[in-house]
Amino acid sequence: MENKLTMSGLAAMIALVSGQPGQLCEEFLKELFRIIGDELEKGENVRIKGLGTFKVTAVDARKSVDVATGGEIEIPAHRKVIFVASKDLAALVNAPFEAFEAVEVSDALPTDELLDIVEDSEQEGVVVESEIAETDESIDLEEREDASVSDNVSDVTEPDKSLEYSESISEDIEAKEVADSMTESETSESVAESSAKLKKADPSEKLRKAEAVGPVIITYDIATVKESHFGDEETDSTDSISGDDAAAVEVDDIEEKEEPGTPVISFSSPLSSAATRKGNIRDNDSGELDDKKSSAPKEPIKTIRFESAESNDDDDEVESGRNRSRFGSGFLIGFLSAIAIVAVVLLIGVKFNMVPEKVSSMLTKNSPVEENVDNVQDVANDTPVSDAVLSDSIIGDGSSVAPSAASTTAASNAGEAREDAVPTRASDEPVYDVVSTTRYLTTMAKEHYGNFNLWPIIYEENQSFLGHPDRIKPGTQVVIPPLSKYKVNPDNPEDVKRIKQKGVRIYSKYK
Amino acid sequence: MHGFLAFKFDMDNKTLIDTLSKKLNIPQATTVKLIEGLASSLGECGTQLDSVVVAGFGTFEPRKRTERVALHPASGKRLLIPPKIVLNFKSSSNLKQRVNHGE
Repeated sequence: MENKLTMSGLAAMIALVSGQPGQLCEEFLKELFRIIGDELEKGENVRIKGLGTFKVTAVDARKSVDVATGGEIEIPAHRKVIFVASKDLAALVNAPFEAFEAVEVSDALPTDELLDIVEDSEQEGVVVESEIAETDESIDLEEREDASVSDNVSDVTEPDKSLEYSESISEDIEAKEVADSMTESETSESVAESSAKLKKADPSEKLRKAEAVGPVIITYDIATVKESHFGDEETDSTDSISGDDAAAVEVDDIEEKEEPGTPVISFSSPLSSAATRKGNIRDNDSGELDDKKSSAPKEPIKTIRFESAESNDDDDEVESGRNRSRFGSGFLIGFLSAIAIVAVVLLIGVKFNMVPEKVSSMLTKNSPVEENVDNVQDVANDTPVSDAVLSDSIIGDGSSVAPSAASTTAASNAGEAREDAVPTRASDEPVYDVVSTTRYLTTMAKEHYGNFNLWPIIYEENQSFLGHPDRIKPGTQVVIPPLSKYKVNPDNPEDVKRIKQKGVRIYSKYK
Repeated sequence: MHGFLAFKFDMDNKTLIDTLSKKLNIPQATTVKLIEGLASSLGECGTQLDSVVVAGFGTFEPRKRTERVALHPASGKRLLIPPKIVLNFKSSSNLKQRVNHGE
């Protein structure tokens, strides 16, 4: 390896190869190089067949650095001898690496590719996680209702306290309210009347009227508390209903510590008002509910029964002596059970996609109940609204599922369309052919192009779904592109050669 | 003889073989054989990365070029160029002098 051969060694080798005597070979070499040297001296090139060309070329003067001194020196213009090995000799020399071919490398470096893959997977992961989080949230919403129920159970004492606080703070107001309520609220009709008025009344008027309706307000306390809790998010005008802002705020503060599952509470609390035949509040709520999740509006209707029972209790308790803590606990227990049932029903409804029907049926059932209220028209007007809202919301709810399905179908349609489009576009020019056990790409090439060597054209056209060119499944339909697409003239041997090389490359891919 | 004004009488293969044959008193066919032998010998030396030193003329040095990634000039694709051996010629100082003697 990397030995230095002298002329004698080379002569010996030549003697061995050519079978001529060694001496002759050495003489020959001496003479050959002498002649070449002479010719080069004359400034002439020497071309030797099978060996290469010795050329004399002029080199321009250039500046360089003296290796020894480091100073700049100028290399004067001179001539130099270049040897360009002939193709044959170059191939001989390169024999060990002859088998190698230039291989196409993907644009990204291997390490970059890996990095890209990692990044992609990370991004995908994030997306997936967020999706999961979303779905979880949507599920949580229902679960949280249950959770909020349990929370509320544990917080039963707290709301009581809060109620007490609110009581103490808004004593003046409530004292009047309760006093009023003692007289007024006993007759549900009067309450209904006032509520009916409330519907039309301005916020300010409502305030006044709310004050007038005592026991209802007590239930409002919670209702408004929850509503105001919503108000934080929804900025809806529940304040207008709540006569006792202070209480609402107070309880609100405490409530806010709880989980955001309170939405459910707010829906059922209006029910208490519904029980007391106050359609307007429910309507208000349902109005608010527009913005909220579709599941929300369904609750009020179902809980009416429970609430009505409770509201009676409430009235009794309030009448018995403003024992609000007791009332609160009693109310809350019933209230929570109502929430629990609502949540369960909701869950079932959501799971079996029966909610819309149920709600609509409930609504229709509900409206007669409300018709007891004096302002039938208002209620009638309102119920459609709520109905519409519900249906809207239901539609909205369904839309979350339906659009996705629609989108998927749309996507699939689009995909089909695209699939359709490709062939139609392709069928403008090329012809189809089907691979069989007796029909190969070469057969087709021979048939369509007149030269079986041109099969790589067909392969390349259908590359996307063809694997190994020798293992194409019989029955595979391939497109026969026009030769013009690949700028191939079957009569041009160079083109054929190019395509042949393509074939070699295709095969090399599967080695 | 300067630049491209130089009119060269390049020695072609035929002239070389003719001259050689006359000098060595051997038939042209033998000369051709010998040249072929020289080429194959140089090739063999090249594959072994053995350099051939011709005294007073120069050195034939086979050099191994390692593989590299290069852009295809036409298609712009990245290609991994395989390693290869090329035969370099390094003229001796004697030849250099002779070549530049005319100046």
